Amino acid sequence: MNNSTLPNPLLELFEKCEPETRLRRVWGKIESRRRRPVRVGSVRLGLVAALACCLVSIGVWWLRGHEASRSRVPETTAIEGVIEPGKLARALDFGDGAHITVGPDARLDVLEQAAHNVNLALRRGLAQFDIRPGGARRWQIESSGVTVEVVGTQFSVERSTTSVRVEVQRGRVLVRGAQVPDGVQALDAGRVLIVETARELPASSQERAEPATSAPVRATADPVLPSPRVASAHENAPSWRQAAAAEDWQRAWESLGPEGVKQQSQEVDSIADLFTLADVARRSGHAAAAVSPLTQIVARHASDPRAAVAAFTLGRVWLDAIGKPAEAVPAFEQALAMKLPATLAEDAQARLVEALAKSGDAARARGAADAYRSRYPNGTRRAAVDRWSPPR
Amino acid sequence: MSNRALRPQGRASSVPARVRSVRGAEQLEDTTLVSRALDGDHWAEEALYRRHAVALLGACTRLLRDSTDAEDVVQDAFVDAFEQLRSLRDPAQFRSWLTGIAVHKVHRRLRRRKLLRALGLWNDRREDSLDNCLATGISAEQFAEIVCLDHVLRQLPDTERIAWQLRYAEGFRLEEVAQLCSCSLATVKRRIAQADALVRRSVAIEEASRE
Repeated sequence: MNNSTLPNPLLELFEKCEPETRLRRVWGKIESRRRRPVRVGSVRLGLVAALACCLVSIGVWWLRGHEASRSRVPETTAIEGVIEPGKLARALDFGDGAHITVGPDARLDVLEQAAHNVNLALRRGLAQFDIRPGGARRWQIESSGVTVEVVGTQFSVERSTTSVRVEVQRGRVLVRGAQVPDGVQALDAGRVLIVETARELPASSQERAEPATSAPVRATADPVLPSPRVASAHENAPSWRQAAAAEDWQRAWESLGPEGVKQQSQEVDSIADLFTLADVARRSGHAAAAVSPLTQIVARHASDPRAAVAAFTLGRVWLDAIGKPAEAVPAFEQALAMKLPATLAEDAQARLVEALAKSGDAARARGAADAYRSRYPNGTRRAAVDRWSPPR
Repeated sequence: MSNRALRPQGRASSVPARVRSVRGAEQLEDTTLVSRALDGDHWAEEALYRRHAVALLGACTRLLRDSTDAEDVVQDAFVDAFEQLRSLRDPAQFRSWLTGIAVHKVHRRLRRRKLLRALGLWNDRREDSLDNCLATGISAEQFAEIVCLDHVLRQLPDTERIAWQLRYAEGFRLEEVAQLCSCSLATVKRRIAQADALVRRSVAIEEASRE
């Protein structure tokens, strides 16, 4: 947070020039409209067109309202995507506005599709779900003993031979399963849960699992994921840990005090503890304090796969929460260099463009934007990247 | 063909040419330009456009958060203004009269956007943020504050946001804001106060000069 005071009025901060081409374009339109005589016929035509538009709108609205009960996908249909590597291609639209895309070699079975619930099973591969909030149906996706329950959100589920990965882009989901810590976890936007499936997990991997946890959860790819297992391992731990375990972020922050997160970041060594400290700072509304634990993760645990996610989160904190894009640039670069998970790498590359553009480094922003466009020609962040650094 | 044939016919051919300075549009008041536009002077219309379009485009872009919509509104506002120019009682008030027309159209656009949003046909991601309108060379702190302000303004109802922006972003006086929003001074004061309470929780802005 900075202490800068904005001028009153703000007008002096805004761009005062308009490109000549824009002014001429608008004037050209004004002139052509003023020259065009308004005829009674055209007014009538306009009224008829407006009436037709109204009728079409009403029709669309009526159809949308009744689509929930329709079924475009027959029950128990197995959907197999045959697509180019690394590119989501096979799309499936449901009557209630839900949209599903399945990745290469993915197989998603529709087990049940009724008026109030949809039950799907992801047999293998990656599937991306976009469920419209407020819908009438409850969605449930099962994959290797892990169940994801959702009402309205956007998320992906990926099943591999050894794990099930759930990533939430928007909204909130519940993940249930015998392998999930405490049997159930709530995942918010931007969080990832990777559950190692016990059946296929090699014995050596189970032995390598952190002693704090009884469930074979391998990694929480996003630092904001709460870690109940950490709390269970520290029954006599300071109260901030207990509060964090209970997701009472405000109480955890108050227990630590204003400098507590920074001090604890120097003292604790476990990557899980450092992530928890970052969670406490971010979720209690003190995002700037998350810089310290995240920096420690990147510096002290660089070989850990989760360090890349910490670097990515650090970049987001600098860019979005603190508003210092120049500081965000090295963080995003480091995250990309550390082999960030593919699902976050696109976002990191797009944010790198934004950070470079906002920090005034147009030349490097162009380079980063070109790299984004070549890697993700149909990327979801393409519009934002083009806005920050238009194509040459 | 002789040179004589190219000369203009009449007395000017034998009189030495005189150069007379012509007053540029910037030296003419709005009153004069409006009066000339009413007499069918197309040049005066363009001069009025050139004088007011930049500020109006900027204000509409900031209010609508969409440069394409802003262009459409400015275009509509000028077309309406030139067509209804005879109804302008005080030509000196051309700027505020024109801005009033534009603000009315902004309100209409935002209402339509609300309807489209309700029908699921409008994506908020299309909307630009205020920091895209900033001039180059402002400090990083001010940039951060504007980003923060943008987040707060997005949470406000359109009527409150427009009133607040006209007052604090565009610099209109309270009476002018009331006129532009076609509502009473008391209503405008209430809207601005409600918006201001939320804004000042997150962003520090210089106090308004006493009016």
